[in-house]
Amino acid sequence: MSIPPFLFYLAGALVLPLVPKGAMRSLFLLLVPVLALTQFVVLPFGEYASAELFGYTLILLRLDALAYAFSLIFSIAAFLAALFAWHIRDTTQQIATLIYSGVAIGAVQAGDLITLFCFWEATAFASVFLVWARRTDGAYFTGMRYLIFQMLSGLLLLAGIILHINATGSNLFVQFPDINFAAVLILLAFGIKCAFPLLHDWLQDAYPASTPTGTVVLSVFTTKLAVYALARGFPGLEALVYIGALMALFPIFYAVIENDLRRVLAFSLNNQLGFMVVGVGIGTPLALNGTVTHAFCHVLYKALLFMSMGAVLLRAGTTKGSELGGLYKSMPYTTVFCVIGAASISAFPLFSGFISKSLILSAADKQGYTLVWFALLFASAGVFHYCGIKIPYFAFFARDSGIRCREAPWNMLLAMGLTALLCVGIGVFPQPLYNILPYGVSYVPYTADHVVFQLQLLLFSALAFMVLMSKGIYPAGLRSVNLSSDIVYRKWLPRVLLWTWGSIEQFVVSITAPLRRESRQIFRNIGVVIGNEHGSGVMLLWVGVLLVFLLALTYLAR
Amino acid sequence: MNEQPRFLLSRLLQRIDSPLGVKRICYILLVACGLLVAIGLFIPHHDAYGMGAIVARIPGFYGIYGFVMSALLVIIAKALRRILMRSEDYYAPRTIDNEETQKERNSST
Repeated sequence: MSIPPFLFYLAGALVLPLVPKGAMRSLFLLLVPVLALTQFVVLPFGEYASAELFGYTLILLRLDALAYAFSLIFSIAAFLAALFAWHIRDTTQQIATLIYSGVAIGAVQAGDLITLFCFWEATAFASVFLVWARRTDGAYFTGMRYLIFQMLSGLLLLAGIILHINATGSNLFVQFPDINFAAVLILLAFGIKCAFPLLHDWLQDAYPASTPTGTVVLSVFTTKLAVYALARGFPGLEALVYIGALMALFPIFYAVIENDLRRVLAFSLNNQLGFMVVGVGIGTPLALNGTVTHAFCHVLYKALLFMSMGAVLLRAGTTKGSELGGLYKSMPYTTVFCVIGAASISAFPLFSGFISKSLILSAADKQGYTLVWFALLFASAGVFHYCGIKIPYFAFFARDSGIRCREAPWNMLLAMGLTALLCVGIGVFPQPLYNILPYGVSYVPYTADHVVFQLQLLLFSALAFMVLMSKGIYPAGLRSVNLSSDIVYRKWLPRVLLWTWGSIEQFVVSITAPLRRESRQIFRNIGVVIGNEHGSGVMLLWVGVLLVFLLALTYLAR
Repeated sequence: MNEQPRFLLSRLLQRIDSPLGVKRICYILLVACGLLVAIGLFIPHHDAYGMGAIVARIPGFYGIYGFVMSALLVIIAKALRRILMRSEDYYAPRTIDNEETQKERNSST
């Protein structure tokens, strides 16, 4: 009998308040992911822990190659995030992190749609507390916007699931055979969590609003859960190729001009999701393997980058590019870890991005998606520019901001060090990761042409950065926000609603004004009869009259 | 500029940060780019299908593409600033965008 891993996290969250704060509790938080990992890491693939509910079979633990890869990386990330947050004494964040990690793992191990829906909603509820944990007014409203989007995704998923079960009679979570209305609803639900274009604004809005440690946790689960769900439900759906390509492209323009470096990372997260969605859309074994590998590596290097910026936020008090610079003097280790994360996301040879991104690019080219291939190549050059160079450069080098702070605490450095080690380790020895992929691959990333061409792409891109920088063309960090499609619900919709409400009110007032004048006159006359000077006796009389009237009405109605 | 950072690693990084260090990096980058284009002419191409195989025959294609596209990216993005950029308190107070600036202002007054 094997216990579903998510139960460990939920039990841990229940027990946590009883564990004394401090090192003991931090150790406890480290142990939970490890214990949960032991439950499935050597378990043979299959279905375990099922239950009956209203005539439907719920499968709480389904382990296959796809679920295994995502569960594994989620568990590793949960451990690293717990280490990174060792110094945190905030019970709210600790419980939210535990539940969030647990239900995310539960969601990828759910074998049926009803279980998936429950975990889907739970990730939304648990994660919003990480946004609120910043405990400012702005974070409260940001969290609300985040929650509304997550709930919307949940509602769409529920509606889709109900229609799907009604039509097919099966609640199993497998590939949706045809794209009917139910499947479209479910696709939209996945799309919101995956930050499809125009459904993406919650991501860049909410992730930079969390705490230094909270953003690391947020960056891991929700979006990769959505990638998993897409890979499970809609592999080979061609529309996803183009949606993914669009996702890979448009955020990079925003990332270049964004000032908050954690928001730059959120944009690059969106861009990397685009690569994965393209892989799902192509749907060949090579492409799906690429999606899984890329998700795996991406979780690590994105967490590493968010960790380094979290350390900067903790020590320097800001992650605004306009305020930072020269931090390598105070935080040299964080600098090096950030550079490793940047090299990984830029897919430098010997770093993890190199061995994962190329699977998707190769698959796109192989299947004849030439334009998409060019777009992804552009996005690869772009990611090096705004993420690989911009993040470390603006935070740690550039002009000296004069900020002198302490280096990050030991636990943050250790967490970053371990994550960096994994990024390099996977980059140098990709085979163990390739071995757990859903389809057997014989992909060889380190061929002479692949290495040389990738280096060409990156180094010439760096050259462009240098030229633009020396000519003063490169946009400097400015205290600013950039408009996106969220202006619709953050500015326009409220304005339209206020205006509509105001005009309705005015309209009602204008047509009722004469009536009110009249009624005032009438009531003044009645007032003579029922006014104060006659006291409660008259009041009673009128009540009596009303009652008689009602009685008469009732009698007549019969 | 005479301040000595506390960490050994910082002192190493300081070498890169100096004007001379930047100049060196520039030269190294230029040489590396040249070398990569040269090597690209002589290596066999097997990791390519379709378009990848076609562009592999163009000398330095990936380099040119990387340079041009990333320069375009920056220039277009900078132009987009004119349309998209707003002040930090545009969405205030229902946002975190200007909270740090606000705090700074409050503490200084």
